[in-house]
Amino acid sequence: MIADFLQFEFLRNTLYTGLLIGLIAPLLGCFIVVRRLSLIADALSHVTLAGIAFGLLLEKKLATPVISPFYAGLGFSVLASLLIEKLRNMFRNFQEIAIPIILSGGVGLSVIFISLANGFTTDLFSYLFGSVSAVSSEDFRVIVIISIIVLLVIGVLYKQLLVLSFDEEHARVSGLHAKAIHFIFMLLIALVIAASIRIVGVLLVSALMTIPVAAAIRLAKGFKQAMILAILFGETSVIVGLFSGYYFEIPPGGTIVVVSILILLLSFIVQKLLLANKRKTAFEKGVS
Amino acid sequence: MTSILQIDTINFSYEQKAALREVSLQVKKGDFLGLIGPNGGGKTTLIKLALGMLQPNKGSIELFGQSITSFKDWNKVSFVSQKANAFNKGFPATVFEVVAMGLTPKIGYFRRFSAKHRAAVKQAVAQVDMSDYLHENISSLSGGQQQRVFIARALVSQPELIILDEPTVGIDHANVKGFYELLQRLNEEKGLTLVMITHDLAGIAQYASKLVYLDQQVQYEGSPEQFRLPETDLHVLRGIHA
Repeated sequence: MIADFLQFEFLRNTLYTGLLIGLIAPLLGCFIVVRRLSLIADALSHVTLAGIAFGLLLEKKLATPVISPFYAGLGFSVLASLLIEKLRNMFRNFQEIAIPIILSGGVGLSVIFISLANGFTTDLFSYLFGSVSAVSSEDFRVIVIISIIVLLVIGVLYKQLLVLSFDEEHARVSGLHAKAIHFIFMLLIALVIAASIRIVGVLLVSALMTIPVAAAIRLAKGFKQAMILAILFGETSVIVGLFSGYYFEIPPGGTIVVVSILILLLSFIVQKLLLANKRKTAFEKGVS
Repeated sequence: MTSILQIDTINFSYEQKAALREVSLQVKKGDFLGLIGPNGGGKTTLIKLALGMLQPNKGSIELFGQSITSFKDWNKVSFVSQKANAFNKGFPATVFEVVAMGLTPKIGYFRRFSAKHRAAVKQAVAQVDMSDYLHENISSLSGGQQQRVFIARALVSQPELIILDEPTVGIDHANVKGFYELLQRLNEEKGLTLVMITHDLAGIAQYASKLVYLDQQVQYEGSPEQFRLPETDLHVLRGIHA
């Protein structure tokens, strides 16, 4: 099975893409989770679906490729990230309202575009739940570029993003360019979602950004350790999920998410064992 | 003595509601100023204005002799906010990581965290007697210990002025005393200028060098020993504290 992934180009693309998103999705996810913005990833992924449906509609109606569904999804996602910020500023006291507005807007547009295209196509199904055979060489190249951008930006802005995530007020008082950094951060989320949809699918992409992080923060001491663990869990979920999805002929989005949830459950058990061990050691120290 | 913060006859209102009227205040180098007053009296608003987070409708504010509108030297100023409002309790960050955040504006975007910065973090943590907890998650510490860590974060960039917004809220009595002693030590030994908003009149009066009572206007500015609160205002202050 592993040989198949190395032998065939389309599977190789899928494997390498999987490894890249297993790195960048939990990496960015660490900041998303601690900033309590988990639902924003969901909202953006639903708008990405609208973009994809729009691209598929154009493909079908015009018969000549104007814009690929992948790029249309990417464009919609970036636009929606800007719109969320606009709405959050407009409703300063109810900032979370931006999420249902964008999310339902995305689903609404998707339904319209899918209906205009006369229904649900197999291609759309692969965008919803991911596919082991959906990553073209062109997609792969774009995903490599997105990954490089994400890694570079996080490399440069790591310290600032950490301050902004931990204490926004302190970040503003310290003279950090909080607004600009937040804006770049939102764009990164849009890019990572667009990069991840071919493998995990629109409906499950936010899971890869949040579940490995949820498991990591149960066990980690410090933010750096949480990031390393989240990436480790993300990569494990992607690799096991991709291979099992291929073997059982199931969309990999489903298997990746199930594996990541199993890791989360395992993290609860490990945390309990660690805590019990710590208490036992403390008790023994107290007795002696 | 050098003026650190100079507030000159400012007015500020939130939409139609006046928050501050004709407020003037001077903080000199080495002052430990306690800013007290009832809720809605404008204490936090005044601090936000002093930090450039809000703009006055009238009057002027100067930090280290420069107008707040053009002030860029934020390394000289640190702010410790009311922890309960600003801190996500489940955040997975060690004491080291939290204190290191205080150096972020100084390091900037493209410089890396060096051995020199690491040493500065350890020194700041030692100053607040928290070296034993350097690699512990901040969420596992008590309220008093967390607040010491936030003081270390404020100290690490070696500021000349630290502004604290109700830092003792949620800390038990024994730890509050230790906290005041720490601030007093930093003020006297390091020459740090401190401005602290508090409702703890009894506590601040023992340690501050100067008290300001603010209820939209400055009602009192002077030594803690000579401060006498009118009975009506005392009732208001007690009401808040209850």
